[in-house]
Amino acid sequence: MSTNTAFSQQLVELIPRLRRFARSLTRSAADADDLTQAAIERALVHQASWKPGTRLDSWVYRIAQNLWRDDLRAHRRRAEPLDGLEVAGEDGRDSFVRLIEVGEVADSFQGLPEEQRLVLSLVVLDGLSYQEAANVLEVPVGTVMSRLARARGRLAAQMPASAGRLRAAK
Amino acid sequence: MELNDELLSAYLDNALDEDQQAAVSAALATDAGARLRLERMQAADRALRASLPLPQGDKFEAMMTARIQMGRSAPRWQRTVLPWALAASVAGLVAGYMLPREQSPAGLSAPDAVLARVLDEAPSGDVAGQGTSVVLSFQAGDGRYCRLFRAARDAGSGEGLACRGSAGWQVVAWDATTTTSTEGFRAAGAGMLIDGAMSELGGRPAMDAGEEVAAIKRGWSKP
Repeated sequence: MSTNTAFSQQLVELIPRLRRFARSLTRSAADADDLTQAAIERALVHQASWKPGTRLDSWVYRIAQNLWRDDLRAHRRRAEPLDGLEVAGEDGRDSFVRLIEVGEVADSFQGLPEEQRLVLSLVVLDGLSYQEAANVLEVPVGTVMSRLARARGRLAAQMPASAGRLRAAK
Repeated sequence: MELNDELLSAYLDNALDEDQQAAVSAALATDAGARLRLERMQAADRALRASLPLPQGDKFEAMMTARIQMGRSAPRWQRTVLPWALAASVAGLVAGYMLPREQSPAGLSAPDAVLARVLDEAPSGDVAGQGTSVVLSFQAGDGRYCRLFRAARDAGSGEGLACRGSAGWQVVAWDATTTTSTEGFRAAGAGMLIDGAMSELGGRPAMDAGEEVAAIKRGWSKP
């Protein structure tokens, strides 16, 4: 497989995760897709500066962050709330409790500072290691740890009081 | 051992070294308050994953996939027309605009009936065309007549560029500035697409009203 084909294939596979990362960053589905499109254009143009064998996701996430900082934020349209609030993996029995949790946590997430939303997005949603998240955010690993702890602490504090106990009882 | 949020959070991610993981496990056994905080963090993680599912399987993803497969060297006219072609197909209301089946620079898509009539007959500035109007006309470097138009449809509105070749009018660029579809999108850097397409056509200055009326009367054939 040529380098170009490998690059294209990985970039295509990255689209859903890039969009979710962009939603965490912009807090708007429409802005996120604008940002995704712009990041993909820039990645295609600067393809030669990506080193095969290194993580493409980290590289493209950094591009998206820079674009958001430099250009798009200044021109963004009115923020629209994230849509598509779906509950994945319903199991019926505790779906009501789950729905409340999801709604609460989505609101709380939106209210977090950008640096905390991003670290949650990378580690909790994307499953990156602390070191990988540190590379994307260009901060020390210790900073990732402390931001993540603060972010989780805030989300956990706003969960319904029953959340922990229900889980514990199962 | 004091189980603060930083330790609990790192424990949750299995990010501590082996000894620390074991020490936190042991401390949790005798600290009900910390156990509850850990459980709430886990519940928050689960709820967060459920609240931000991966967006996939929609038209936007199809469009981006097609864009990536074109590569960086895709001709500008393809990059330009693609967003509109998909935005239109999302709404399914503007059947005329389809993706080019082959990478043929000869033409992209035929305009629909309303647009074709406006392009044939309407002088620039005439707004009688059901939300479709022509802004200006010019002759491209290759001699074709081209018209910059505005169109508002249920699928969205924007500006486009159509040129008349041997097979009639062809939409060579479209810049959807607004769409009403929830899956619609606006091209990043919108507004520059048409400018780029126009400069690529190497057009002469816009025709004046007299030249335009004469061209309409000739059916846009060359004098």
